[in-house]
Amino acid sequence: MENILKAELLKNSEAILKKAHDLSPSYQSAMRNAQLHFDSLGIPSKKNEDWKYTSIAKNLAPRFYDQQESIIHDLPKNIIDQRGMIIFNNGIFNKFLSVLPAGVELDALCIEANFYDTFDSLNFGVALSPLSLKVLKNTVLDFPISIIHLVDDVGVNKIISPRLTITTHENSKVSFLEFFTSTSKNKLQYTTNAVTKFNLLPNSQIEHVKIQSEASEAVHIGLTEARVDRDAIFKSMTLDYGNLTARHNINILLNQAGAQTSVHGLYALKNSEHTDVFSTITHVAPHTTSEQLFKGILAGSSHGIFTGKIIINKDAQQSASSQLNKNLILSKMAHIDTRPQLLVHADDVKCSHGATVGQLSKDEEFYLESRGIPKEHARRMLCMGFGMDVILKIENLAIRKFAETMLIETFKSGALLN
Amino acid sequence: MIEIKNLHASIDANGETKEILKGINLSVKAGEVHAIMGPNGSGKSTLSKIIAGHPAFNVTEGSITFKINAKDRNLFELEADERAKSGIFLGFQYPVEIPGVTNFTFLHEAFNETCKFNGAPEMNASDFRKFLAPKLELLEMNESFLDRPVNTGFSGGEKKKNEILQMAVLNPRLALLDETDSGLDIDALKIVAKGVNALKSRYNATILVTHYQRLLDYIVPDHVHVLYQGQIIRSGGKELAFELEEKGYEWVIKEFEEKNLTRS
Repeated sequence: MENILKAELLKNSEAILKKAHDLSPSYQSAMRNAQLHFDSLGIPSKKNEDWKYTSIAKNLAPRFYDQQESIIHDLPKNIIDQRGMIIFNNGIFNKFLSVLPAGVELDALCIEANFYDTFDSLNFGVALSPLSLKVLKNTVLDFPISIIHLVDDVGVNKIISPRLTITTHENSKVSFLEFFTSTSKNKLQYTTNAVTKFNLLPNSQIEHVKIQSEASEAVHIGLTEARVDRDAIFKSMTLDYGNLTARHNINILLNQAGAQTSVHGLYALKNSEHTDVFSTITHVAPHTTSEQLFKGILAGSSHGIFTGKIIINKDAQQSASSQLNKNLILSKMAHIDTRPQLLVHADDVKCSHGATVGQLSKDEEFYLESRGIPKEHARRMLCMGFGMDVILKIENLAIRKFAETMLIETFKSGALLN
Repeated sequence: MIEIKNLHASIDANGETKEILKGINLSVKAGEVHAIMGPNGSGKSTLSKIIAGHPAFNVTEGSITFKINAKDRNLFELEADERAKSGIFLGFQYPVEIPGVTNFTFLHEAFNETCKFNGAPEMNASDFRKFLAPKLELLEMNESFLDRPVNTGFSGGEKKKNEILQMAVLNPRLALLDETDSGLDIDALKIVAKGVNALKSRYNATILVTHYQRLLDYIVPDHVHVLYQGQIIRSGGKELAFELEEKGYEWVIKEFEEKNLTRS
């Protein structure tokens, strides 16, 4: 598949760049460079330590989505507040349906030359509709902005490449719900290769909740990246409700003193679903803090992977970081690999980490049963509670409610608990 | 109401089977309060857990019958949740913490499951909140307890009050209170006792499992039983509790062992 995709890119390189005619010549040449970068790196195999548990090449879609215009006209469901919505259809920004609230404006596109990985390069090289936004100084929104990525039939067998960069200026505070989904939950086969990058300028705050709910046969590769400046706060939550294969790359840089982040998440997997979370938090500057709680619920023959890298640079004295990965295994066939990786180069820091893998507690089950709640119902409540513990960390109440409803739906389907 | 006959039970631990109860006989009638006392490791907690249906124990001999709708039912035919919905309540010595499930959801689900089982109408969330208000007041609990995860971060006293709140919601016919007084300061103990006493009626019964006599100053038993090495070695009225408080368990145990010696 690697060769097919490379050949496909080589064949279509010119055509893709031609379709990018709205973009500036310098941006187009950066795209060309990114394509070459992807070509030289290729698709990682399991020999690559960072991809040890996921063979990503085998299920990737063989073609690039290369239409420029969005053809979806109906507002997707799942919008939680119509005052703020950014809609991508098959990776193409839909400017007709999107609504930017006051204080959020289009920004100049950033010409990038340094990429997180091969998929970031690929995305930059083929994304025909990159979007860059800025949140103006002092903008504080009490309603969330929904970023909806919707894939429909036209996206079948294609690589969907949405690219979004958001810069928040001083004293702004915004919550985003980024939702990846499709018009049909079951049949569609496609690959999303999404990149969402945040630049938090000093004293700004972002809450970003990503929900991966792609079609069950889809592959999702997504990068959430944030550069956090002085006294800025980035709160990240990644919720994965399962599909064929998902890889979440999370890359947070605490760039200046006083920068803070929380990088939480939950994966709730069933059947043969496969989700690989690869999180990197780098404390670059002193007095920076990070906390992380990732939980997993694994049923059926699903496979979850959590890699949590915490890097504390030599200069990042007086920094604090805590990490916890807790997994609930509901079946004998389910599997979890958890890898905490701490690289601490400073001596005056506080770090803690832990990982647990366990089953539902018999004592907890009996406690609920002794109150009249039947065993099946008790187990469902306990699993829900295990997940809710993470969801309750979402600050924006509308987003929290939405995430909670999705968790309940996931459990209603029953597949998690048979 | 409940009739325990020659109950033997064991637990499997570390590949070994250990017999914990060795022939318990106990009969409790509606309106009565029984106290089961005894030194640590005598099997007190096991007895209450077996009545409530804890899966860790194997009943090897004997029977427990419980009156449901005026009929004697074999308790072992009922799952733990069915026993609860039929009117048996176990107040835990160590209430379990359940992060992520709010107290309100927990109580509401438990209440509605019980209503459904007994053919009574279920209650919606807002009515249920109103239904809870006087019960919270009785136990001097703040309404904010409802929105916190079950027992998570509760103090020892708060956990025990929360047990009695659950009891007040489920209104059982037989309440088994396992070491409800442990870990309580005197103020919390008084509140818990006030709650238990308020829920007492001539239609329900209470079995208090306790190591100390202290609780019995506030909840007065009609009958006191001493459990030792899986057997009830002595029964009496409330004065037995005072005697135990004064002289300790040693003399009862000694008397029991002497009796056994002469028998053999």
